[in-house]
Parts: sequence; C-alpha cells; structure tokens
Amino acid sequence: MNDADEHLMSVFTAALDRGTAEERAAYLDRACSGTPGLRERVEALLRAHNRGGNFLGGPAAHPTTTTAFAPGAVAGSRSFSGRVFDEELRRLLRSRLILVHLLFLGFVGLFLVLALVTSGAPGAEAGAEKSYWWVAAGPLAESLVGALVLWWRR
Amino acid sequence: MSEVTQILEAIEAGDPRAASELLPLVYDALRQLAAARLADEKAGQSLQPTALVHEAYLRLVGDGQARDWNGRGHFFAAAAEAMRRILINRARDKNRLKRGGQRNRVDLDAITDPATAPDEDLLDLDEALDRLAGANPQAAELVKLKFYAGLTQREAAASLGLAARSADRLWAFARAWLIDALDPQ
Repeated sequence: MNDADEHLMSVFTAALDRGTAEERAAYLDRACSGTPGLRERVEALLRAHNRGGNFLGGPAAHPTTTTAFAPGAVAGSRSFSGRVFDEELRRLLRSRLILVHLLFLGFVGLFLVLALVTSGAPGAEAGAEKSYWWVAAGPLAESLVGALVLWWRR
Repeated sequence: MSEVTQILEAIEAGDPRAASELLPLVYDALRQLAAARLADEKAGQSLQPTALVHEAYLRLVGDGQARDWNGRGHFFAAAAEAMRRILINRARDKNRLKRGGQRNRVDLDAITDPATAPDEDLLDLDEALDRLAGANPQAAELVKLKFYAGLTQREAAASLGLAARSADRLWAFARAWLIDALDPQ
C-alpha cells in the first residue's frame, strides 16, 4: 500500500469516528487541507459507506457509523439501543478522562488497602473488618475491569 | 500428519516455498467438493462456500483444535483465494453467453453471500476486488476471508494478525471502497 492509499484510509476511518456531521466536517477541513482531491475521495467513501446496506453481509463492525451517518440505515445490524450503547461506550473510551478516572480509582483502592493492612479496620468490631475490605476492593476492582475493557477495545 | 498440516507447519517455520505449495492442494480439494455439490444442484443443492471451506479444512487438516490462528490463517487465506477462483470461473462459464448486452446497475444488497449473488455481480465484484488489492492488499484479503471463506470478523482479524479495532476499520474501508467502485455516486 502506498502512502496516499494509507493516508486515505486513515482519514476515512478517523472521519467515521467523529460523532457528528459538524465534528466530521471540521476534521476533514484540517486533515484534507493541502492535499488536493483527498476530501472528495474521502467524502465519496463516506457516502458509499452510508448506503452499504447488507453489501458483503453488512457492516459487522464500526457501530459508530450507524448513528453518525444514517440512523437505522444499516439493515440487519444491531438494535437502536445497542448502537446507542456502543456509541456511548466508544465516546467514553475515546475520552482521556476515563484514564484519569481509572487511575484515581486505582490510587483510592490502593490507599484503602494499605491503610487496612498497616492500621487495621477502625473500630475492630467482629465482622466489621470484612466490610472494610469490600469497600477497599471496590475501586481496585473497578479500575482493573476498566483497564481490561480499555485493552479489549483498544 | 496430513500433507497440508506439514505445509502449514513449514510456513509457520518460515519456509518461503511452502506457501506456494498450499494453494494448489486446497484448490484441488475445494474443486472436488464443489463439483460433488454441483452434481446435486438439480436436486436443489446449491454451492455454499462457507460450508465447503470448512469441510475442506476438516478433510485436509483434521479437527484443528490444537492449531492456533496463525496456522489456520494461512489455510483460510489459501481457501478464500481458491474459493474465489472456483466461484468466478463458474460465474464466467454460466455468464459467457449472456455478457455483452446492456449491463444493469449493480444491486449492492444482492451481494451479501457468494452462494446467492448474481453471476454478473460476482464478476464485477471480482474486478473491483482486484483493483482494491492494488490499492490496499490487506483490505482485499480481509474481504476474501470473510466473503469467500465465510470467516467471522473476529476470525478474519485473527487470521490476518490484526487487533479487533484495526480489523473493524479495515472492513469499513474495504466495503466503502468496493461500493464506490461498483456503484459510484
């Protein structure tokens, strides 16, 4: 694959990832400036993508496009609620805030675990210690699960 | 150990000649299976590429449980190419007398499965796929694996050694590229 073809695919798929028509247009303004013909080619591919229907068995992937380009246009694809969920998940994963959130949870969980290990559970009543361990494990578990999801959808 | 299994292991070990030995073997096996199916076609039996490819896999490799996707990927790449050639040759034979007239517009929704796609559309797709292979060989390979060998998106991604997200992007690009080539607007 030559550089031009690689660039075409890169711009096309990045445009698909944009959630709204405005975001996509702004992205194409930036990405296609200085490359004559690229924008027309990418827009032709976006239109083609939009009217793909069940061609070759359907999109089978890239659920973002069903909401970003033509809601409900892709026959045989996921239900509307499924696509909305996919879209929201994708937006969340694209955001850097999710990394900050997971790091924060990880630190909170580690801090609580270390505090329990070094000082023991406050009150030290029978059965209370187990509850404190659950409280400490929650953020750690959430950060681990979040990291796994990020890795899976990378 | 079957001959195909030995070839797959040689490919995995880096033998450059082994890959060229695989396609003829797979092609012959698939052609025989297809011929047997087509003999029954009058009784309503149609050519089901996905079933043929998997039957060929079981016949040539075995149950394949122990083989990872790296090895199976080579097999299915060869099978997809072999199945494509079989289907295209068949479509050309059936269509030889019909070609030359006014060509109707390609019905994209009719090209969902190689078993049911109209012959003329299959031939047009084949030409477009050749052009796609010139622009982006990996995209064309992904289409072959999914369309002609019947692999799922996940299997095709594993076969090509791609992460799921990369395969999703490549599939979106390949479909759009082919649609635009077959029916530009």
